[in-house]
Amino acid sequence: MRFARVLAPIAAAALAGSGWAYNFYLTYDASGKPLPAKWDLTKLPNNTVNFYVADSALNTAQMLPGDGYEPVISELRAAAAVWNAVPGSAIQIGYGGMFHSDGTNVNAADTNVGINVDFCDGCFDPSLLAASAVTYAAAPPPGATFMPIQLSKLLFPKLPHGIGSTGPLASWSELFFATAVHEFGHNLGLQHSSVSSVMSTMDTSASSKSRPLAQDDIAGITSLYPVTQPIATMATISGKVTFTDGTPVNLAPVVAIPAEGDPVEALTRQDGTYEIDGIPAGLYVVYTQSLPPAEVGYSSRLGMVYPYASDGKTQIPPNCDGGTNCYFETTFYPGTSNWHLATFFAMDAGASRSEINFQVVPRASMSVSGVRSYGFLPGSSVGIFSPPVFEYGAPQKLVLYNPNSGVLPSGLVDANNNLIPGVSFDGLGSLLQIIPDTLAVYPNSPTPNTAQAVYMDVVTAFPVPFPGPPGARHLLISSPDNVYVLPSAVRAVAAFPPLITSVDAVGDGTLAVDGANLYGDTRVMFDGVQATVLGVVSSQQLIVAPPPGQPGFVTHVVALDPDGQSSLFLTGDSQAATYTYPGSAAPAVAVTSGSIPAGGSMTVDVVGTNTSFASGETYVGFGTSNVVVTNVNVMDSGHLQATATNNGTSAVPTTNINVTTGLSVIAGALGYSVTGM
Amino acid sequence: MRSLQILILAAVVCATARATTLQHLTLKDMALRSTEIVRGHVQHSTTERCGPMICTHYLIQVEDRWKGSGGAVVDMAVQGGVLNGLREVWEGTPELKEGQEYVLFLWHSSLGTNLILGLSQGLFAVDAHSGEAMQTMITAHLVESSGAGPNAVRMNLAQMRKYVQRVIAEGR
Repeated sequence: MRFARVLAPIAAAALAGSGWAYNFYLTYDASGKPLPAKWDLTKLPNNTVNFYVADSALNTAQMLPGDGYEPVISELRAAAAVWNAVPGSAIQIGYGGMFHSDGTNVNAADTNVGINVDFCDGCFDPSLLAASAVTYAAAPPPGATFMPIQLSKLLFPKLPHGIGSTGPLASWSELFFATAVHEFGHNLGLQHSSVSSVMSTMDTSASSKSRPLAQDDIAGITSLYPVTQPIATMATISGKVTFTDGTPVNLAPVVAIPAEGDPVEALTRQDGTYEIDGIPAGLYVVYTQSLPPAEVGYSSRLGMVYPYASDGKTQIPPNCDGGTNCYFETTFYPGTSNWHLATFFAMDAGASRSEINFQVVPRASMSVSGVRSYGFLPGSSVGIFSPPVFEYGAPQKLVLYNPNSGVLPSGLVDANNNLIPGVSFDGLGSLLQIIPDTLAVYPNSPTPNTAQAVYMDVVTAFPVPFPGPPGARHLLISSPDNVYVLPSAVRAVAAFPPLITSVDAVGDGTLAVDGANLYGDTRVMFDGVQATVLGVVSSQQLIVAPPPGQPGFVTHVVALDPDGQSSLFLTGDSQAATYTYPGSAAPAVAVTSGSIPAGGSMTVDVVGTNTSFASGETYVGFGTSNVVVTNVNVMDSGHLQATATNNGTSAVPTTNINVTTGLSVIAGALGYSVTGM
Repeated sequence: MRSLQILILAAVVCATARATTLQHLTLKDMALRSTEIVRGHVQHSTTERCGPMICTHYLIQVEDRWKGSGGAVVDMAVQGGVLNGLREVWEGTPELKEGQEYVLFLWHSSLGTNLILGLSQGLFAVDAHSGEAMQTMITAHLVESSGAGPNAVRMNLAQMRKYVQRVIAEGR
């Protein structure tokens, strides 16, 4: 084994804001410069693009008990907060209230300059869980440096459902949350990634409710919306990918990957050049691997929208010379398919390394791709993707299958369900070890899928006594003609996931959350709103202050640990703990009578009954991007004043107000009393 | 370091696992779920509103109808397109070629439009020379489910038609 450790030059790396670290919606201008589609921050108040939720199309009657608009909105707000929390990203997603739509209205979702969340059964067939779109100019205007996004949509079916199911999907589930984060990423201008981040398609995504974003997602959003001051804590790697005959490779993923932790990916431009920004300090190998073939249902590789030429009509797809040479052999720098011979780059904060070039051998096909991993916690039969594997623990079962086809790639398994000679599995780095004699092929694997699968036992800490930090571990699958890298195949952890068995009132307004593996850094979520942890009695009990909620409302309580695990890993969605808010009196608000005039401002007085207004926790919106709420002044739990400016051309009634505090969403559209006074 | 507590759960419930935002459909699934299945050529396309979306509409000159009772021309739509100088992009939606022959598994939506079933799964390009239909994103599991073997990447048009009509006749 040769670790050619190369120290990165201290070349100074002022990270320019025009970085290229990701897969954006691109249009080339006439000079060949790629222009990404993105929101124009100079036109967004406080750099904030709001999402607006359709007020009447969600099929609440058939949702699970305790589910409905309030939990859905809280989960959407939590999903937005995930992107808002990225350091170095200038854009924020806010909640702007509810707009009127029945899911079929042609123009309702287009009246808001923002992200319009609608529920529509006719927009796509039931095989889709959700879909999103961005709208921008078809051809680049002269002098443009980016393509401003005009509006965006996020569509769910009227009854959100799981995969292969018409039954309702819980809004507190891992799946709903990861989907919301993923779709918001599209709404902001990010396309799919191939390195198991939240922006990967769900076939390879390794994100979880506890840890939704991978470093690749962070690199993507910070490159698209960099803060004014460059972040000197990140490194950059750049170079070029060509075929052996010198032809530039378009849309080749190039990945900087550490032995432990998240990879960061960039795609090559039309001329084969690439630049990976947003790399945290650390030790990396760099490889390039073909864009995988289109997954089931997608018409393009990685399900992406290929860049458009400057004419606004012609798309520039990956190289595919007459149906051959559409793929290439996975290659580690400096030109090897054996990662043991790859160069490890020590990337310091702010460093940059250029001329990391690849010459790749073309291939007509990609024998292995789209492999997915899952496993089980000891004593549990709940399958978990990118499963947690314990440091220092006994070997655990890892299952690989191909969700794209239901059968393993033909390059791996023969017709008799035997591994093809020469196929082997390896961890990238010494921190993931495969136990060779445990390899087996099963025609039908157990839940959660019944596809053909490869089983193996893995351990993540080897050699002791110095295991790596908790986090992603990567798998290499070697077939006779290629190597396939599956980033984040498992997640190393130091403890079991949290568990919540009950949530009970203590008597002073606080709650006792009982279970196991509950610690001071455990987040306790009431649907999408985080409770305040007041005390840690033991690993079996936390004392929390619940977020405000409507009387009688049943909320689902989920514990999230910082290592990516969730109490849902053990309970599943349907057995998640619940808490019912006491009382029975419904909240109501009375607002200053009248309308916010077109082109004018107004301070709206809001008097609440049975409300819990709180400074910094109460949000006000009017369901339209024309009205910008510039200030919310909370006097007490039943009284606030909101200053709103109407930039539109028609007056907006004050009774269109939405007031949201914690899980409490007060809006006339939801049947709550909103009256003028 | 936190202790490794072994949790014994008597009642472990359904998986929380995720697979994809898109359900994978077999040929049998599509035969049963589609409201209309036609073979025909793309005549021309236009871009219009459909519900809250921009859609590219294609007129299909029907040569053969395997399911449904429409006319000689079918209007079907794909999410996304360019309208009034604005492009609306939906990841994964296909673009049909004018003049190309396809087999289309369509789903009549409540918006009144015919959409391709399963994003692009219900779209098969017909090779005029070989008489075969090839899914625009062909997968082994689909042809395996239809009895063509796991390594097949194309399906004879006549066999496909026969298989689909048998599935429809059996109704399950």
